Amino acid sequence: MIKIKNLEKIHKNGFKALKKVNLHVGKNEFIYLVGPSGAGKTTLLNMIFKFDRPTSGEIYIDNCPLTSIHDRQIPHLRRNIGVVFQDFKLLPKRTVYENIAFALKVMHYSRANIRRKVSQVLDLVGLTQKESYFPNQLSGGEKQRICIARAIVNDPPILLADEPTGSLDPDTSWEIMHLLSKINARNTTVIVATHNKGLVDDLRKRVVTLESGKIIRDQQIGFYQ
Amino acid sequence: MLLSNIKFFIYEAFIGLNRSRLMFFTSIATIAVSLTVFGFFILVSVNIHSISNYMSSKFEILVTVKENLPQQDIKRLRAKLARMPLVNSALFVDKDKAWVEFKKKYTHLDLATLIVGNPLPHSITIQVVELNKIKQLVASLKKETDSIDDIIYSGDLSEKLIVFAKYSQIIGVSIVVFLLLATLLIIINTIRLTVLARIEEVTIMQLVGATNGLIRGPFLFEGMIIGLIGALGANLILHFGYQYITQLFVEFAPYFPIVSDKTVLFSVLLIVGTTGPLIGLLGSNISISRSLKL
Ligand SMILES: Nc1ncnc2c1ncn2[C@@H]1O[C@H](COP(=O)(O)OP(=O)(O)OP(=O)(O)O)[C@@H](O)[C@H]1O
Ligand SMILES: [Mg+2]
Repeated sequence: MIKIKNLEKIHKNGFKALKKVNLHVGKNEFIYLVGPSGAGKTTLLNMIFKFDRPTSGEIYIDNCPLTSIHDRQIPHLRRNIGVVFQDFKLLPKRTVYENIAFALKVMHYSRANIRRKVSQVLDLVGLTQKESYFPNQLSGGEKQRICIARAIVNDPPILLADEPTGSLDPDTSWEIMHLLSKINARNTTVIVATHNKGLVDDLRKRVVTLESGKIIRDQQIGFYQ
Repeated sequence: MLLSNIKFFIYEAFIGLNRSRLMFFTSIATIAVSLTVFGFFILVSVNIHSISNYMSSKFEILVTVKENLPQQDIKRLRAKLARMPLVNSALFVDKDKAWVEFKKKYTHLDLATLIVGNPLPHSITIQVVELNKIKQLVASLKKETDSIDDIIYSGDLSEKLIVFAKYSQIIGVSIVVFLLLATLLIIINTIRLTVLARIEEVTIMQLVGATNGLIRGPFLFEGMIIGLIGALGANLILHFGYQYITQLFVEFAPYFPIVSDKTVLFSVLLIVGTTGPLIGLLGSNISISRSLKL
């Protein structure tokens, strides 16, 4: 599904954020991307949906090299990759429903389809009764569930989550991880960058560890070390 | 899909307009003022053009014919002058008729007792094709020493008029260009601020896979609306303002050749009305490209 070859990122100031990263992610796999702060997790994820450009190396998604994707086709790439952020990135002046519908509107879904898809996804994340709330009326965990709902509402084959539990309490973090597992079970490849040691150790998934821009460990049933 | 896009643009644009009402109001007002001055200068230069046309039509060279020149020779001279390339028309003025006209014009003077007989010579009045060729024409007229006695024209005035028309044109064009640039800058800045106010939204749009066209759309639409409303305001001011001014001239300076033709005014309103939205589109396009690097 995702193949990363000799990926390097050198910032303008000469800082090497990624050094010769190689990684294969199979279809419908679930991967934890762990490592200390500044290891390059966000940098790597951003590169997968072309929010950032590598200095050298290549990323293939379904065997399609990303460097060959023209700027004008980036939106179509992003429609196949849902992204979840630690800071949610919800529109404050729009309701839960509108926030999720916004993504579909941008993709030219019909109004009837938007209605149907948004109800389905709200049901999946368990927030149907809060569809007319505004983001500031929601708890952190609820906001993150809305953010996940928005990311998967159009059923993308890939979901990237950058520290989705970064600002949540342990119980809520558990809920979010279970939700991500549930989404993974619906045929979605999921990559989660996280610091959350307890969750990684308990969920027994594949764990890829980054340190100073290098992959130092890749275990099928791994631990956070 | 296109229709849903347009609906999206309009909806998003009005959310943006509503969010920063004060800023839009001030930029619309500034653009209205700037487009008013723009239209006003077009009207001024149209009038200067008409004045200089009017004055060139009044510009005549009066050629007095040598005394005792036979009628046939005068006729031949007139025909010769009329054939000259710089001459628009040449008209023979009989000295007796000229004297009658003269006396009619100056009835308050008791000419009959002051002057005995007709002091005026036969003459030919020449209308020039182009005002700035008048010197050249006079030079060639001076060669007709056998038949022409004197050449009377206001060379100085014609020169000044040419210079005035030329400079007023240059100044007018520079002011118009300057105003257009100023309007463009106002729009670029306003749209830049609305883009910054909505940068969060724009980033989210990019992340969920909105095409650049869809992201640009609302901002282009906003720019166009600002330009359009500004132009409408300017047109109202220009329409009523110009009517008022023409009225003043008709009342107090009826001989002044002010352009009161409705089609001229409407062409200027049309120019302002299309310039506004076009500058709006251009300005917001420049602004988005700069602030979003799309
Ligand atoms: N524009 C930039 N210029 C220079 N260095 C940068 C730039 N952006 C990021 N970096 C550096 O790249 C490194 C990797 O950053 P990244 O955000 O990928 O880390 P991370 O693994 O996501 O950390 P965290 O767990 O804290 O989110 C950091 O050391 C950061 O300082
Ligand atoms: Mg990070």
